Parts: sequence; C-alpha cells; structure tokens
Amino acid sequence: MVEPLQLHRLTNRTLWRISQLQRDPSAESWAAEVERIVFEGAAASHFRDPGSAFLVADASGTIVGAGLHYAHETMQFVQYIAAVFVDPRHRRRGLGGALMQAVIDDALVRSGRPYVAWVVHPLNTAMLMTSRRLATEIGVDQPTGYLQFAFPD
Amino acid sequence: MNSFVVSDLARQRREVVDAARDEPVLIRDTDGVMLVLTTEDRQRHIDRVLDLYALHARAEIECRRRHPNPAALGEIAFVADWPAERRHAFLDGLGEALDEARRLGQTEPVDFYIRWHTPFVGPGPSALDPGVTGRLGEALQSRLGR
Repeated sequence: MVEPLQLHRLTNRTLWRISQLQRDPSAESWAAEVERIVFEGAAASHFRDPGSAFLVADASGTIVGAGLHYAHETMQFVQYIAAVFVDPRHRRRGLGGALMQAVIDDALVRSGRPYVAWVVHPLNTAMLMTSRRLATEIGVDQPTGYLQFAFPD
Repeated sequence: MNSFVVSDLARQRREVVDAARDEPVLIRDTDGVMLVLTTEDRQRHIDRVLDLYALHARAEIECRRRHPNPAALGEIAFVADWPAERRHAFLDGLGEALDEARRLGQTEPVDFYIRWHTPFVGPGPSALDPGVTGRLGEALQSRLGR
C-alpha cells in the first residue's frame, strides 16, 4: 500500500523546502538533468508563469519528492511535465508512480488544458514502467532518444 | 533576554555561558555599557540576515536604473542582464523569501531562493530542449487528431 501523497505548490516563500530533499550522488547523467531542474532551477523561467506549478510532495509530513509542470508555449492544448523527482531515501516504495499520478492530475486540473505530456530517458526504467502504466507512449524523439508520453489517450 | 553584570562572568561563569548558548544575554559593564554574549552561529546568522536585507534594499534601488551595475548587486549580479520586468519579479520574490527567513529564524529560504535562480553554466537539461517538445507536439497533434 503506497502512502497517500499531498502536493504543495511552492511559492517564493516556500521554494526552500526543496532543500529538504536529497540529491542522488550516484545519479546517472539523465537523472542528474532532472535534479538540475529541481535543485538548480534549470526551469526557473517557468516558475513565474501563472500556468506553471512547482510542487513538493509530502508523505506523512515528510517531503519525499518534487514535480514541475508548465503550460507549453507552442502546444496550447498541452501541459508539459518537465520533472518528477523522488528523494533517493524514499525510493522503492511505489512513491514514483503515486507522485507521477498526482502531478498528472494537478497539471490537468490547474491548467485546464486537455492533455499532459512528458518525456522519459530510455534508461530510466522505473519511470518508463510507470509512464507505460499511466499513459500512452507516443514515440521517440530522434535526436535525444527520449520516449514521449501523453495523457489521456 | 537574560541579563547579567560583568562580575557575573567571574562568579557565575557557567550560568552566563549556558544562558548565552540558549539565547543572547545582556551583560552590563561597570560603566553601564550593555554587552551581548551569543554563540558564533547565531552571530553569523544575524550578520547574514543584515547582509541580505542590505542587499535587497540596494538591489531595489539599483534595479530602477536602466543599466544596473552588477558590482553593486553582489551575489545577485546575474539579474543585471535580465529584462526589467523579470528583475522586479525576482526582487519581489526575494522580499517574500526574506520575510519567510525572518519568520523562521533561518536564512535558508533566501539562500536557496538565490541559489535556485542563479543561472547555471552549461547546456540545459534535454527534457527542456525545445527540439524534444517540438517533436512531441508534432507527434501529439497527429496522434490525437488536433
């Protein structure tokens, strides 16, 4: 049984709660890219958009992960999920799937857009399994090899 | 705030020091001057908070100029190149993070806010690459019939 997650939208006042999460020192390069979005503000320009949400997830009061989605600029029917991250100390508990589902739900409700989309690195097996369970695999981005997903079908 | 007299430093040294570990204590010297005894950590925190408030005030003035001077912006010099609207949004956020830092008695809300907005060197993450999302858009449009 996966613990229930609560999402909290980060604001300028609460952004620092990200620092309660731990980075993975042994992260593969593709995972490090997600960490750069979460910890280093690689998508900071989207943080200001009213249609975006930078979220932390807590399970029983402990911050266990984070997610970021924003309104895609050119695809006006798509809310784009740029990052979903689970703290390495809380992995292998099914939280990744629960967090992904929560971020998808939040993205749809908050944006009012009909579709949510994201990409997954082909070596990110855990997120690939989760994405295939939750969404439709659209294709492969040729230059990067990232797999593309969208919800709903 | 506990207060002592300077002779207590000799007579009740342990009590004074233990009290100062918990919170700053006042020590009245023989000429009436009040001294404050506190931990190094707390003093560093106070110094950092003062620095941050000064930085915020300085930046508010500097960013009203058409071409802000990066040297005057110190650790947030990176905003000098930003468009005015983005600079002001950043400073509003910095002010909110400062309020939160004061409320919590720790500077992490501001320190993290600045770190997170500091532009990093190097290519951006692939997941943010417009090439990825652009192709995703084409695929989605054809697949979803939009």
